[in-house]
Amino acid sequence: MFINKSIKELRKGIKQKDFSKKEIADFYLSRIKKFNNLNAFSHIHPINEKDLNNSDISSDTLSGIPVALKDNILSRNNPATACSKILDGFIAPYDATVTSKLKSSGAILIGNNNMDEFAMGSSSENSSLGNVLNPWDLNKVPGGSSGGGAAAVAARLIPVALGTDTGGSVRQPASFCGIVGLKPTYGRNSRYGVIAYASSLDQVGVMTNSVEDCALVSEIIAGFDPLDSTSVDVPIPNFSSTLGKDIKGLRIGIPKEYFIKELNTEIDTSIRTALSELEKLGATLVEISLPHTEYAVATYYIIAPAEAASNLSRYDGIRYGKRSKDTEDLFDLYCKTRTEGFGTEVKRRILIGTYVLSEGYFDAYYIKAQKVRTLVANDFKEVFENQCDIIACPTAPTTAFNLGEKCNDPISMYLNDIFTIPTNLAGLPAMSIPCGFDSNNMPIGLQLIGKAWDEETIFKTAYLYEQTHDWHKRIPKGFE
Amino acid sequence: MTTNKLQKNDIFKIFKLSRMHPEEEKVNKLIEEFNSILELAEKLNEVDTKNIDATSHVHGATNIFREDKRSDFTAKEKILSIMPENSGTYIKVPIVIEQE
Repeated sequence: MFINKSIKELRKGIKQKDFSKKEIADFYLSRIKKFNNLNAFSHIHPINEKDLNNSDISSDTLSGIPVALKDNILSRNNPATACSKILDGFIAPYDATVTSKLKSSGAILIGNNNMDEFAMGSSSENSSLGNVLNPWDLNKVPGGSSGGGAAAVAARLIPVALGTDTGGSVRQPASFCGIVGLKPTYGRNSRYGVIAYASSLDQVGVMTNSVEDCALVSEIIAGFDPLDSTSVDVPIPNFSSTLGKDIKGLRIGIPKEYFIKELNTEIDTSIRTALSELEKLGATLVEISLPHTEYAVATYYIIAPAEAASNLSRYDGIRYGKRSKDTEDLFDLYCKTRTEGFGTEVKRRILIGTYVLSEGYFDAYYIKAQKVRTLVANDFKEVFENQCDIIACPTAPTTAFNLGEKCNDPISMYLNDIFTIPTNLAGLPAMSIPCGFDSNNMPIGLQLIGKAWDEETIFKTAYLYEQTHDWHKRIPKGFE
Repeated sequence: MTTNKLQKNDIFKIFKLSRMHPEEEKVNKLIEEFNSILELAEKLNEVDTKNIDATSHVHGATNIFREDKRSDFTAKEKILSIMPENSGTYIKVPIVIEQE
C-alpha cells in the first residue's frame, strides 16, 4: 500500500492519520524479510516506539520515513562493517554527521545495505556477506559499490538509501537498477563518520525512486561540518524549490568523448532520445569536448588505491576491528589480521596503492596522476565557463552485466566506471536518472553533470525530464 | 614513468610494506593483474603535464583551526568496548621490546 508513494505523500498520510509511522516501518520491514534473496541488507536495526515517536510530523521533514544506510556509514550503537571481515562485529560508537542529520529530521533508520567491501567495486560482488542481486534480473549485478541500497530502492524494500560515491558508486548502481542517485559536489556533505576509502573523492549521496524525494533528502544531509576538514562552508541550498521551474534556454553540453564505440548501441539510442526530449522542453544542445576523459580511469586507479592504502592502514588489529589469534609477534599480528580480514579486491588496491606511493614511484605515478586530475578538472571548467550550463551523457557504457562476468578481469570491471569517474576527479555534482530500458528490460541511466555547487540545475532538469515518462514508477516483476 | 614489469620479489616486498602475508597460490595471478593495471596507468605518459599543478583538494580547501579549548571525552566506555583486547583502560598488544 505504500509502494510508489512519495515522501510528501507518506507525510500527508501520517498527518491525516490514514496510516501510522509504525505501519510504514512494518510494511518495509516485512518486504525486506520477504525479498531477502536479493541480499540487499547487511543488518536490520531494532525499531522501538521511541524511535517512531521522537519526531514531530508537522515540523520534521522525514518524520516516520524509513531510510537505509550503506554499511560504511556509522549510526550509533548499530553495526557498521563496510561489508569487510576485518570490521565484523564492530558497533559504531557515534553517529556520522549525515546520520545525525537524518535522525534530527525524524527519519527511521531501518538497517544497513550490503556493498562492495570498503566501497571497492562496481558490481557488489566483493562483499564479505555475498553478492547482491539486481531485482530486474536476478542473474545480473545491481552495480556497485552501493548496490545493496540501489537494489533495495528499486525493489521498493526502502524508499530512501544513502550510498557513497568515490568513482560512480551511487550513480552506476542507480543506473543499473533504474532509480535516481545523486553524487553532490565534493565538500557538500560531511564525510565525518563515513568509513574512508579515497578521501579526496568520497561523497555521500542519496538514492530514491524519484527526483523529488532525492531533493528532499539531499538538502537535509547537506552542509558544512567542522568535524570534516574537507567539507566546504557554503550555504545549504533549497533543492526542492527548483523543481517545476522551466529549462528554457538552458545550454546542455553533449561531450563527444562519452559516445564511444564501447557504448552499447541501445544506450546510445536511449540517451539521444532523452536529449531530444530535453530539447523539446526548451533546452539547447551544444556539442562539447572533454579531451582528457580517456585518461580518467587510469588517473583514478592510481589516486584511489593510493588513498585507500593510506586510509586502510588503520585496520591493524590493535585498536578496533578483528584481531587474528596465534600470532608470533606484533608484525605478524598486523600481517595475519590484515591477510585474513581483507578480501581479494581490497588487497589488490592496497598493494597497488602501496606501490605507487613507494620510494621511486611516488612522482612517476601518484604526482603524475594528480596532475592529470587537474587537466580532467580543467576540461570541465572550460566548457562550463564558455559553452554550457549542464552536461548530459550516459551514466555507464552498458546496462547491468551478468553475475560473475567481470570478476576475473579487474581491468574490464574498472572500465565500467569510465563515465562516472571524471566527475569525482573534478569534484562536480552528478545524477543518474532512469531514461528507458534495453531489449532485455534492463534499466538505462541518463547522467546529468553540473557545475560545482550547482545541484539546483541538475534537479530542475532531472525533474522536468522525469515528468515526461513513467520510467521511475515501473517496478521490477515479482516485486509489485 | 617507465614500464616496470613486476617480478615475484617485488610483489613480496609490496606485501611486506602493506603489512600483509602473500598467499603463495595466488601470487602468479596477482603479478599478472598487477602488471596489467600498471600498463593501464602508463597511459598517463601520453599526457604532457609540464607546468601543471597537482590536485589534492578539488575546491582548494584551506586549513581550518578550532579554538584550543579543553572538552570532555565521554565515549571512553564505548571506545574500550570495541577494542579487540584490553586490560583495564589499556589496549593489550604483544611484547614490542625484546626482553633480556
